[in-house]
Amino acid sequence: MATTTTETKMLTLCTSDKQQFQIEETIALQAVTIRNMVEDECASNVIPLPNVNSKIMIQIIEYLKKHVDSSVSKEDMEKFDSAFVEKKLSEIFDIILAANYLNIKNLLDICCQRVADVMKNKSPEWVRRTFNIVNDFTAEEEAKIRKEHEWAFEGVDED
Amino acid sequence: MLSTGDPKLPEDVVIEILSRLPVKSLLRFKCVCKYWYTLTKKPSFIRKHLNRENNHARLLVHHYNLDTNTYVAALFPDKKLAGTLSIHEEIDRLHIPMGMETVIGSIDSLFFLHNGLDDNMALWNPATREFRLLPVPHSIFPPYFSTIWHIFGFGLDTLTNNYKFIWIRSFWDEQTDNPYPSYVVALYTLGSDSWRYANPLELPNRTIHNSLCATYVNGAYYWISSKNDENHSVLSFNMSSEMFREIQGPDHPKKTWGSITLYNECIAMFICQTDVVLQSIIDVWVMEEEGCWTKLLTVEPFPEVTRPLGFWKNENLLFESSTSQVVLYDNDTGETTDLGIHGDGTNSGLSVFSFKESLVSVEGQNED
Repeated sequence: MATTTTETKMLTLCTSDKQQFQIEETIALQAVTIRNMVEDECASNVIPLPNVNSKIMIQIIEYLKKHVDSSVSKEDMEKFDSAFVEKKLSEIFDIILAANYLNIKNLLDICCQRVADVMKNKSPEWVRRTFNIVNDFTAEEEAKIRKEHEWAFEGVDED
Repeated sequence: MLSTGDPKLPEDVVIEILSRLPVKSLLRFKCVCKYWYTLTKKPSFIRKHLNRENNHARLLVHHYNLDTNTYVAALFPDKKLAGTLSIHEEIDRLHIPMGMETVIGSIDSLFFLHNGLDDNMALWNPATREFRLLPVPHSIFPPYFSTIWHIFGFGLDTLTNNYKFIWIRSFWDEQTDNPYPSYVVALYTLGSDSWRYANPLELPNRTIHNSLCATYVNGAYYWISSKNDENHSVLSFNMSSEMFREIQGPDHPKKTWGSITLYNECIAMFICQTDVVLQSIIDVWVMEEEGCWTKLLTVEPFPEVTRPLGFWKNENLLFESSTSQVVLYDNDTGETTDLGIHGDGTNSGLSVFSFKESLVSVEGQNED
């Protein structure tokens, strides 16, 4: 869907805190949700994104700008990606929620991988706190499950 | 520690994150909550986790340890094997229960084990460390019949989603001092945990040989078969239809010793050009479609090796050296690297497998 005019087509995205972001359409269309809205013509000039705040939007635009650039080598892109996910887990969770809503698959992938890398050596208690999960096992049930694979608890990080 | 307070990630995102974790982490996180526990037992999740992009195949070497007089498995870390000596501390030494001297695998992380002394058989997942002894089928012969040769195969019956094991034996009748005229075929289905005997397999004057690894492709298991050690062809067994089929071998001028393995998810055949495997030119043929063979490469003879063990990542070959070491051979440069693992000098004391870890259970599949 290349535009015939030399003028770059722009889209305006409006975040949950009513901030507006003017970005090139080619950059924004990497998000499948935005692409569908544009293709269905259900969006006018301004695309409302009520599930994304401006703080997260700035980071997502940074990611999309890099990934639209075809001159970046595969190696440099991997470097960019690994530097991009060097954030606090709370921020990664926010980006995951936004990337899931906007449907940006590769961004979702690298963020999920980051979470997995951080949590892989953690304790179940750390995981419950971080993911806000309520333990719905009784103490006896939990002890029994832990006993099934005691060796899996070797080498766990200190909380 | 969370700025937003309640992350409550959607279910599909949680699955996406968990599917990227090593098996060890997932087993530890089973106790986090009931939902996570159920997920680790769910076939669709197990399949997604097994097929994840970063689940790299690792090298597992089954060998006889002369120091401890036991069979062990050495599981290499997920790194290139070249320059392996420095990563020796990272090799997991896995205990093989009950002296199982035959190991065949891996299919969906599962290995089949057999002990020839008492015919004990087991299923093993090295990643979850689950081990399950299989029942022994009832004997159909009087005690004066002894087993000459065991052939094994296993795979998934994709119609019923059940793992099946096939055990083919040739027998010697000690009373008449003659071989029993046909192969005896027994089949085990994991879902029903039972054995049954299939129709005897009539293959006059043809010998079936065990493969170098689990040669299971697209729902069928394959073995090499030969007549007087020549004229190599392939025998296949479809896990769903339970039908055998003979497939022509490659059109090769000399066929004195052969074995089959996997290459790029196809059946590959090593054929030596002389009957002395040592110092023979070895041709490698690949069957991309049934009965359609292409010569992949020829390995010039070199004195350090005795026999091919298999491929590593479709790039390099693994050989057993004349001193029973596992060596990695680079066909482009002709360079060999000693991996520092050795067998006992017999063919049964050393085998190599490609292994991807997963939660696949030795108890069989549950329905989703």
